[in-house]
Amino acid sequence: MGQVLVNGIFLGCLFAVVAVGLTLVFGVMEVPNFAHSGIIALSAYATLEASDRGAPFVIAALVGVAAGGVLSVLTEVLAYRWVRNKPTAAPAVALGLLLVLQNSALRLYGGEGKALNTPYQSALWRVGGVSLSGVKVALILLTVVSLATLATVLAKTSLGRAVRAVAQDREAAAMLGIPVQRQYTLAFLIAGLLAGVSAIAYAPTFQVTPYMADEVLLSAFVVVVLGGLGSVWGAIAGGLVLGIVESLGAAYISSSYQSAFGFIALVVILVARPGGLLAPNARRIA
Amino acid sequence: MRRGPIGFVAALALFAGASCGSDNKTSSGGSAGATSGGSATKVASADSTAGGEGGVATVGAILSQTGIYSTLGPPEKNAIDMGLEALNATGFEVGGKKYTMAVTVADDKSDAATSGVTAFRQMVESDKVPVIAFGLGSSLYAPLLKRTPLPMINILDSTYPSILDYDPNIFLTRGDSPTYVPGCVNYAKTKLGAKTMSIITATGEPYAEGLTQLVQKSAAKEGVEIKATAEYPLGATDYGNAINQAVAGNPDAIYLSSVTAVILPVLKQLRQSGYTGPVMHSSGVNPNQAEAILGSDFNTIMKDNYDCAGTLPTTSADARTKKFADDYQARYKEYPQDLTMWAYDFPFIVAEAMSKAGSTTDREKITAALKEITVPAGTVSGWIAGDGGVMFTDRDARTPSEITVWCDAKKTIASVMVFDVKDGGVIDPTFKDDPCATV
Amino acid sequence: MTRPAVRHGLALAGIVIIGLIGYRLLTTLEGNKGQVCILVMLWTISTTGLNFVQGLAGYPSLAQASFYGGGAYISSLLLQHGHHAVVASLLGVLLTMVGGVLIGLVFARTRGQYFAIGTLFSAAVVTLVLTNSKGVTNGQQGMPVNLAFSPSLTLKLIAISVSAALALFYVIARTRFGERLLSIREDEDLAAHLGVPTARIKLMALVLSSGFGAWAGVLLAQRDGIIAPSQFTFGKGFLMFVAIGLGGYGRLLAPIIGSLLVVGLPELLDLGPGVTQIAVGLLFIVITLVVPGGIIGGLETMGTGLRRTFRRRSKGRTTSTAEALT
Repeated sequence: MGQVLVNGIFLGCLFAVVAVGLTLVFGVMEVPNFAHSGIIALSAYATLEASDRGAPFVIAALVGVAAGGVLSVLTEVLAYRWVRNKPTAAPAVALGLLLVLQNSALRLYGGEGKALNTPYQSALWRVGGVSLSGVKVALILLTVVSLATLATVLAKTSLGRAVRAVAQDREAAAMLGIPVQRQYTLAFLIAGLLAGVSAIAYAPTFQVTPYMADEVLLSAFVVVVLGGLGSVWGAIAGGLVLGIVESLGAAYISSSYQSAFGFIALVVILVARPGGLLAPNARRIA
Repeated sequence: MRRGPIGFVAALALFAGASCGSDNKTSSGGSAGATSGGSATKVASADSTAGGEGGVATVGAILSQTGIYSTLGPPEKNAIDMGLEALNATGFEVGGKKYTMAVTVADDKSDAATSGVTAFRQMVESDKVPVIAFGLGSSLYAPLLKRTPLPMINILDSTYPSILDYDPNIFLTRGDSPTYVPGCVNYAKTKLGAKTMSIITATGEPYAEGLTQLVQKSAAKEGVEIKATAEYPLGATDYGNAINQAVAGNPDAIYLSSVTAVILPVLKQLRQSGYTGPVMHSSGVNPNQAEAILGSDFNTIMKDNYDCAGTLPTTSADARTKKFADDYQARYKEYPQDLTMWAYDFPFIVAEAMSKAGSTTDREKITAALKEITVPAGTVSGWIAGDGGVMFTDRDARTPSEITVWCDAKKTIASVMVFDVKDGGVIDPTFKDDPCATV
Repeated sequence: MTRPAVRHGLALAGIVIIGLIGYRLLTTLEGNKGQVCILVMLWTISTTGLNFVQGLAGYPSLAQASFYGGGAYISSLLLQHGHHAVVASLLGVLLTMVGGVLIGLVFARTRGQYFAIGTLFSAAVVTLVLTNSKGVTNGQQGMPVNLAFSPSLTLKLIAISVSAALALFYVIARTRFGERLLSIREDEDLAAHLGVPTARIKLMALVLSSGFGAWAGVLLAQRDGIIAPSQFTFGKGFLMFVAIGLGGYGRLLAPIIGSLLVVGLPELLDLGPGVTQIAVGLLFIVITLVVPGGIIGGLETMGTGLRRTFRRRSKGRTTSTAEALT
């Protein structure tokens, strides 16, 4: 049981860090950013590339995070920006970007799985009957640190407050005179940096491939809805709930249907609490 | 809102125009580099100029060049290229005329149901190839084969129950799973002293599901107790729960069901979780893949690791296979996977069948000939001939089965047991006493 | 005859011609073009259904591929159990529509993107079930289908169904139901305020779309003789959704254009592994940026512009009220 819960928390942190990036973009622009999994993959490859060229892990990781930020902003500047008032057109752009990003990775690095080495990959702790590997602990820590930093930025800086305002209700924010365009770019930047963080946190437990984040992204979208669109704290809470629900379901009911448990949680929450766990806007239900 | 007639007319024109003009009827003869169609790209034969007096026989290959199985297609294509060059250096004779061979390669994008079927129709109806090599999707091509029968040679898929059951036109150039899986359980029991085992298996992945069934059967036969069969869905990235379940019963060995790209991340997390006992699988992992997927700790992760499958190019005792392995490695700078040697032999097998059939185009005759040919000269895989020296027995051609062990001192694999399987049990095992000493 | 009657007559004649062209292509094309032609026509039928809920009502349903799969699997399973072809096909469609009702009951109350994600996960669950219920569906390997229609009949049915689907869309879009769907797309709050039962209308649209999808699935199973979960993944559902976006929301011919772009182009374009997909991705982006309203929408804007220029030249600078309202 303890181990199952720890696994759930691990999964939950992974979902949360991916979902926060999605929810911000979703919130400010109503874009289902499927290209996010392409950004995660390319960030992981950037880290790998830097490592292969001899950079120490910390530097390589920073390269990966920066690459995520830059790529994400590029997707906004080159593509999403031009359809921002047409949310119905955004999915085609998202799919196009995903195809471009993933297949670029495939052409550049091939489809073979590659390992991302870390200094802490052989660490292992045992607490009671529960074993904790270094890479999982690192993922949890990286998630906590990056999301805490983000929360501080969003809460304490004027820039952050503006992003939050736009994410929660962009029409009202525009009426209040917040320069909306800058917030779009900023939201993509934050999402990209978080994509980079999730790449370096998650790749060492798995492998780097062009398709490494596809499954995670789907779960992260559940989290976005569970938590309430545009809500950062909702995404974090939703991530943990989903991680634990999926982990328990897989352990005690059926692992084949692991992601279906997330779906059931989604239906239950949408029926019981139409606003999500922590919904910032009440206009979700007719 | 209004729908103007202009849009209507333009769409109509698009609809008609976009799929009209089926202009690329290709012949199986003709010059090697010229034909091409749709999603198919061309592999020119080494001798692309003349092609002997008979011309060029063009055959097809549907491989996974992109998508999640893109680890398989590119090496297969590399090896087919090498095989073609070797074959075309001398050419082959059909009905008294000399021919060379070319292979049209199409990408199924790891989606046999859509892109694979589309490529199949292109090859069968338009390119009119007489033979197709392929990897995935046997079940999906079966109904198409019922409509237009032609020999399809699978160079990859040993899923249990056998893909050969789908259609009598399918041939398989590797030992089916039942010819090697029992080796793992037998070895675990006799050499590792295992009384119990656990299985960690992917679900929704046919190869893994077949292996799991075979391990369970084999364990029942050998009297090894299966403590747990832990499952995770294909596509999962965290295997924590399955790993807990598998190690909970303190098994003497753990068997991982599925292919290399799936089991290595499981193995990594299994070792990260603290399990140090023996691990077995049937995925044909090679040292390059181990290092690439497992990372800098690969040598410790791979410790106490046993792989039961068909013989591998590099560990083979056969000099021809070994030479192929060296050539492949020198040319493509990658360790040859098991499927490379089968892919290399594909052109030779087809050429032999065409010679026997006396035709480079008659699908029916080539199918019949495939069932009769003996092991062709020039092949490198070390095929075990069947009764009367034939290459295919019940449409399956196979190489010896072996168990390889990880040698951590040398960071590579070595053959430790070569065996055959009869009635689900291991027969004629030969062991190497100190396998790691010679590699 | 009045002008609208002439226009409707012409439109329906055009729809019949499309079916005839389609049939001609189905019976003459070979190779990958033949297969692509079949897929494009089946996707046209399926996405025409999607065009109600997504196109007219503006509600992004990502479950259309699941309905497509529902029709394919249910009809094939019924055939396997010895049911008559007609019974199996009809039940395949009806039972899938029941599935549509279930998904609709849960998610028709939700708005916009929440609806999208709800349907996306319904689709993900359907994929999981198809893959994992090995005993029933034979899992990932795919399930062989008993052919109940002759191959030539299947081709005829596909062509007829394309015309019938488009004609139904043309007619239904002009009924009160169609107008209500449009009013939801324009302004859901206003529509609700004006007494449109929005949730019920959305539910009906979703169920209607599931019927179209299911019928396309029945035909696919009969045509291919085998069905596999990979044909009906949520990824394919997302592609169907993108097809409508690329063609143009609510436009009659959007399904044809969209299907050509998302299933035809990637199969026929051949720039080498990976490069093809990159090119397709770039094309999707460029199309969307240039004509965010989809290709048909873009053509209409162009057409309207041309007509206006033409009228200005011939009639001077008079713009009719009707023109301004389009």
